[in-house]
Amino acid sequence: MNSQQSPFVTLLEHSGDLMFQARGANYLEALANASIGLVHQIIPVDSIREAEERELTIAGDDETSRTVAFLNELLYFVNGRLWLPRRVRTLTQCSKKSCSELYAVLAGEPVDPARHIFKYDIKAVTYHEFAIRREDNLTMIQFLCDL
Amino acid sequence: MPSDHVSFEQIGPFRYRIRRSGRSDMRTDGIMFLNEALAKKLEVDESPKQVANVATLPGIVGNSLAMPDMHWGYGFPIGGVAAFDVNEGVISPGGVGYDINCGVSLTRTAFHLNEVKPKLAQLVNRFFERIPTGVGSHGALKVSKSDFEQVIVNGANWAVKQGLIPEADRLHMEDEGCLDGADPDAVSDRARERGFDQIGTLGAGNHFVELQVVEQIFDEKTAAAFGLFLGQICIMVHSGSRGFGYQVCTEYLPVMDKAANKYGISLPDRQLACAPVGSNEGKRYFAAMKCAANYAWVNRLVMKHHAAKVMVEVMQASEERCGIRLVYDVCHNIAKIEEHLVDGKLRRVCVHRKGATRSLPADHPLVPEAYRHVGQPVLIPGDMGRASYVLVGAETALAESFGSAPHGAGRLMSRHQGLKLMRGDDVRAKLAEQGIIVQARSKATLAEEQPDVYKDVEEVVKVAAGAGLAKPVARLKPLGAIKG
Repeated sequence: MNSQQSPFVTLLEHSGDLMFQARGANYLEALANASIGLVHQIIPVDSIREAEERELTIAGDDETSRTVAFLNELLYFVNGRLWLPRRVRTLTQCSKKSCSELYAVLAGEPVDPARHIFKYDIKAVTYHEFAIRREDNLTMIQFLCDL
Repeated sequence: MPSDHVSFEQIGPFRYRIRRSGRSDMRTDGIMFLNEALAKKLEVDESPKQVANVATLPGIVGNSLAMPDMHWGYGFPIGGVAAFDVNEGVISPGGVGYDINCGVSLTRTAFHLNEVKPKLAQLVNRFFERIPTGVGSHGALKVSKSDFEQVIVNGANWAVKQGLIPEADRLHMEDEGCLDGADPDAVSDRARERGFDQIGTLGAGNHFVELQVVEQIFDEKTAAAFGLFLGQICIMVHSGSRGFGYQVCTEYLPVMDKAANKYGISLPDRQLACAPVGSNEGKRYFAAMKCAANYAWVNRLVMKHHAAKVMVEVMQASEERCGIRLVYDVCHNIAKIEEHLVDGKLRRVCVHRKGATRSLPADHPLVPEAYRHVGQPVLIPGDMGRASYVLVGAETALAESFGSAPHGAGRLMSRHQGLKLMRGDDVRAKLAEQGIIVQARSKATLAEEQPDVYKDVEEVVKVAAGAGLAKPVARLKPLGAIKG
């Protein structure tokens, strides 16, 4: 992946922070692309090995809050647990009406200071200008990160 | 990004208004302190819309305000100030930001430029070695778990007890470096985990430690009160509550999002999620926010402590000879309960300053005793190539901006535009030609933070002074900087 862009993630101009648009054939694919695109802005994902797996379950009342929480949980993995996701191996959501969970299996490895050079201090994914919409037969997720 | 146009009009010198009548959901006008040049820059910026959004929140008192350095943020604009009635109004994590109590400290020394110049490179390099910088930086100070709890409850008082700063320094801090009512039970283990070994670390982005020289004094009497003289070497630190504060904000936003629904608060932007100040959700966030504010003060104090040690070692002088004393420490991302006179009535309000500095005039009881005859120091850092300013609080700020002034130059360009403008190595070389030595963990940071991506701080200071928000005292020129 190029350090600024990938085929699935576009960075938009914003005066202070980083705004992403991630695309996929459906919501889950777009979210997986958003996840790796987000990590890639912190550390080039090519430098991350798929050495182990971590599970991630996120609940939320609506799609927006679930998506924002999911991406913030990834940031916690990176900045809090110092564990770097390289790939989203599994990503599902409950199809039942009453269910409001996202479940993911991530492949990656712990931070190795010798190989992993952090580029940005992404503080959080915000709700500001957040959007999920269908465009050109793709699902697009737009989100702004505070740097 | 496409801009939702919000129209505004000039209503007087340095004042522009967004009329509440322009949007059905606005409860009050938006007032932006600008001149023509700064107003023009907002044509491609979303921040006026954000000023209008803040004006829709319940219990807002007076106007929704923006300082001269305003620019597009998330939720509140950067440079946004809003006060909410403590009984009818709200508190919003989006009005404080993720970097709770991000702020600036200014430390003076007894050295003149002539004494320090031959050792400038050595000083900057030693600062860079001693103060951890960059994303995820850690390890500047080892604390026990019980000490950590003391840090978040007692703030600068803890630093005094540890001998990191003299008591006199604590008295020269906003709120004397501690917000009462910090409740550790309101803070998660995750926040502790993220913040535990980051005390005394700079972080990345626009944070810095700078060696500066006082190159111009505008107000001799006030400068003397602050202990500043021409040619004097000072140290400025800009940082905040690191991962601890980010985690507090991240965790409380969904809580406040639900609370907004529960209390029937309609939000134009979910990042403005909020709850009544007196609600359980509001009180709990406020108590956690105070922990992060106290953490941030200690964070800056530890960096100041390390910088002072470096000065002693490199200048081969005693601490007394170095004369290192804190001039002041201000927070610029915060919410506080304050009393303000509004339309002739004293109101208790929760003032949110998101990228704005408190500005209190002479004789105000919250100004440190040593400065009460002149007013509170207002610290406005610029970029690493031009200047930073010391101002002093003014009466007009109390009357019109809930005692607030700008907090910096304000970004003009995105980080991506910065990267395209000039490479990090070239930025370093260009600054070196101007006699400014810069050390950074990342070359990209240098490119993204180069002087031209910021508005000229001089323009911001002119407007702040013209509008009466604060009065210029001294201009400080950067000599060296460390960045993340």
